[in-house]
Amino acid sequence: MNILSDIRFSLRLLVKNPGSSAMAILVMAIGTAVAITMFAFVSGILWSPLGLKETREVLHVEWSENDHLRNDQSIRPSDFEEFKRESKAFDKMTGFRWNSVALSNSSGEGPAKKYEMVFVESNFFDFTGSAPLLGRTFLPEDVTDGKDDKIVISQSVWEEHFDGDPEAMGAIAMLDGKPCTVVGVMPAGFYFPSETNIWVATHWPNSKEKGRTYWERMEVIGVLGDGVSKSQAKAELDTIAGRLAQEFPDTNENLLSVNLNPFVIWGANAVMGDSFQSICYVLLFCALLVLAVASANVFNLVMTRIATRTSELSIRSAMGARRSHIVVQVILDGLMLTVLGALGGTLIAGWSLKLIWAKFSMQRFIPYWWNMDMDGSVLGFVLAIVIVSALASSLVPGLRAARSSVAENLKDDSRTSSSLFIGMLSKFILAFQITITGTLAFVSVMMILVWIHLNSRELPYEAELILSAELRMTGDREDPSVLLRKMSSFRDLLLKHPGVDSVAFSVSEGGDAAPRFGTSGGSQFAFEIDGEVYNSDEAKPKVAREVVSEGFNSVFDVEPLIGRSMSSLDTHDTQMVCMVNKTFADFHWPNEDPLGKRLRFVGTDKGSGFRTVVGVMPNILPKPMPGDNLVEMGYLKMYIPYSQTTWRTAAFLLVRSSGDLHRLAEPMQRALRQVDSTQAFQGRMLTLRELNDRNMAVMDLVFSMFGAFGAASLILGVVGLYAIMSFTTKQRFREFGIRMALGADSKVIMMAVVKRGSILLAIGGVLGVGAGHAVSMVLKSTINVHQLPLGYTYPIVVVILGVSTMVSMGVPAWRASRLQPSKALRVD
Amino acid sequence: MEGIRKVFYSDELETYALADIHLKIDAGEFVSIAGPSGCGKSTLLSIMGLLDVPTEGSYALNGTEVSSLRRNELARVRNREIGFIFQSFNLIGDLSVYENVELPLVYGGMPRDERKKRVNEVLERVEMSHRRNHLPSQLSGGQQQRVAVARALTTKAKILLADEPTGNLDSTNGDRVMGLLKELHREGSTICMVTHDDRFNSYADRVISLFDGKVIKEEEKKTAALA
Repeated sequence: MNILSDIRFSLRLLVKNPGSSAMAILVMAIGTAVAITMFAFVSGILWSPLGLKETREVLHVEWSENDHLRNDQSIRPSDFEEFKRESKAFDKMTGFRWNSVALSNSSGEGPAKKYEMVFVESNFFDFTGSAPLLGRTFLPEDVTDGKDDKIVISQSVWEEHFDGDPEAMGAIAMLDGKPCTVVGVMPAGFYFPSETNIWVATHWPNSKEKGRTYWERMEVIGVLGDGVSKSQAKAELDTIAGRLAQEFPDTNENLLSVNLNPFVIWGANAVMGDSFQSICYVLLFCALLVLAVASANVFNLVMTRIATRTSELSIRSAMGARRSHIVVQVILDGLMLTVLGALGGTLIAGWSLKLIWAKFSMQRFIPYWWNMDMDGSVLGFVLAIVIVSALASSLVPGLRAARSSVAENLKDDSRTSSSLFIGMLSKFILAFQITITGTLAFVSVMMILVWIHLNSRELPYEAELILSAELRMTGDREDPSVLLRKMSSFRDLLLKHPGVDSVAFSVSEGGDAAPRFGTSGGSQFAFEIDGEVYNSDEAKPKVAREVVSEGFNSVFDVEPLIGRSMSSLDTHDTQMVCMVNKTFADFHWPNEDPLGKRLRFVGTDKGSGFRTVVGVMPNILPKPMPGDNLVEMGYLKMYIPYSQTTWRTAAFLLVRSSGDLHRLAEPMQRALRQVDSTQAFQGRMLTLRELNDRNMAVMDLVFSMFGAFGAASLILGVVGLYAIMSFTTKQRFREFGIRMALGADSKVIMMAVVKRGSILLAIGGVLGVGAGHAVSMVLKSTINVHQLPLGYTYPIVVVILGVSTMVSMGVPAWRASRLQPSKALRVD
Repeated sequence: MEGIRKVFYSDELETYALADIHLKIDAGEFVSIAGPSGCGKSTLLSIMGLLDVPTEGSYALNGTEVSSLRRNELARVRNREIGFIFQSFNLIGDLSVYENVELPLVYGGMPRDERKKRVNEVLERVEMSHRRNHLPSQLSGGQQQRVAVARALTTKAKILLADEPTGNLDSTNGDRVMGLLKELHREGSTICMVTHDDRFNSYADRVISLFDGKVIKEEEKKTAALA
């Protein structure tokens, strides 16, 4: 067997059948493009290594239930100390707490710049195994010597703030106005745990001294010891948690178990929403289904090519070719088509990944280890799918060709008209293909409908006129009134600027008025209404709480429906107040006057006692989707004034202006420096319209991917069905000639074509739509959509599948009906 | 037929399959068309059977000019007035003997019970009733051609067109098929047969000889037809 001559022959076949070759290559290009794009996407986000010297899997530890004192799952430093001391399953553990700080020079003068930073233990860099570029990492005494905080900075901070001076070690830098000593510089590319530029050595026992009810929490990570499984480690931590719950029931009563997840997965979900990992896997699965449909197509195309090569292959056998030779000949044909298709698919995938990355770069944070490069693992995947697809599409046809009877094939002069090579297997493959196409078409249509519905919701405010800027302006740690004074001064300065209509502060980005996707409506806080009796803490209602300043209503240009809005006169010395939104009022007091009702938060706001409702705000979120859980999705809102909380950070600034909002950046910086020269804005300033677009970017991406998969699958379905119908119809030309000679008219011939495909189509279509319905039900909770638009999906899918069928079957049927009977009778 | 021409075009080549054919066949006549391979016999038969259209000339069937008929009207005429018998039998392999014979009646819109009766009659006549449920591939060549004759008879078409009906048969089976055609002619059918076997020309009333697409000779054989 001469493989080179076989390859040459395969190339000749490729050129000889340009139509079927182009179709097979196109089909494989679409299938592989979808699969490669999704693989690179998932691999770049969920499977990318952290780039640490520590190559073992880094696990993230968090409570499996919310800590009701903090309303999140992060761990209290004193509990971490217990875990660390008692656990034998972990080889090492460490903890950190994210923050952002303004860094300025040692005099505190000149412009400050905001950076992401983490408070870490002194063993943090031992944990990662990373060595500094300059200076040193932390020593245990760095956190106990009672001197300045010690910091390690990233290479980019070193270059920006210290001009890359090697003598910078030991220099003083101001973090939020507090002096710190630089002890080391990390090399370029080191940003662990995520986009971090400054690492501050911290001694967690300092926090312990403040008591178990102190607010501080941390992220805990660890690496398991040799031979220890995740379940063993979890069981061990759960045992420790159980003991802590018994020992400290006031704080740990419900904290009985932990979640152990790979840090990269936890990080992805933290950035993109809780269900992001599931969505990724669903998308990858759908992409592989599209590839399977493409392979099924190529399988049938290879079968049809073999059918036209029956004589040639039989002559080869008659001339002494071994079975293996015949099989290799057929596989080479399939391989050639697959390789060319995969080359096209790789190019398309490269462009798609660039588009996806552009969408991602709109996000606020992108973990440093994410990438969407066509790296070695992606190319390995391409190679794997080429081999698998080539074998899947041509091995069975090759074996069949090798097994067929030479004598029968050579004497097949069609005395009767039945010599169809396309048998049960091809029909089965076609039915499979139609089923998958139906499934993906259904899921895609449903997703696109949800997407259209989500996007078509009007925002009840003018999003183009409101600017949101991340600030994290801090006050004195022990005196919240310092922050209030700074906020008030800053607000007054900004309001003096021409074009600025109103200014407010909120703890959530954009006042939590921009719709999100993939996450529920932020943190929900349990509260109790004065006079209501609850059987347990679990029975207490929950609400999305937003801390806002005076001017919040003006920024959104809304007036209270009843009562009043926030006022600077609301202080700790006056009655504790809150406002609720209309949805909240309708939900809890449908037929009552909400004004004067009293409620208080469980846990966090306990000390402040009951708050009295003084006003009802119009809703500033778009209308809920049908079936949305108003509580879980954050549509029930309670607004409390900054001036009546103990918050020490003004997180976000909201400015309303009818002018060019982005031109306000400079006066805003100036005003901030005037109030506190150590502070700086963080990240980009966005209008609420831009914020909406950014928040919905992932949703757009996910839904457009589903749409693309559906469209790709539909194209493949139509092409596959068309190819097979076209081929089988051609094979029946002689039969049609006979039928026409006997009096069959055009309609009869068309029906004869359509009838053969329609049974398969009906079975595959029903199975596919059924499977699509089932998949949609599973996806429902993943994408946080509670009521699917099934009433629209079914008719649209039926129409789409109907039109696709008409195109794929109608054209061959029409061509058959136009045959000249005498010509058809002459077809061999 | 008046001035019938049939030209096949391939690449830059024009091939005249039929050139200026003038022909009249009366009802009840048995005509044999003879000539060497490639002389245009089958093309002429295809045009007669409305399976093909001439490039030029006019053709009237039972007084109707066929060039004015639409595709579906041609199909209806083929179904009701013409029966075909082919050299290669042209049975549909996926249909049983019964279904093959029934097919023209299905296209003609005959009710099921009537069809059943008619199919059984013609299968009896060609002595193929016992094979009614077999597929064509399970039959010998002679049996397949008898089924093809039965199919041609089933609509009681008055015109039978046979293209080398014995070409794929041994002499015994060939004689048997020709016997059937003779019987049908006696019953009043118009038969037009293409053959290059001189033995079977003797069954015809008239033998038309073609050469290079032209009629070169017409020979009346009145006595043979009555034999």
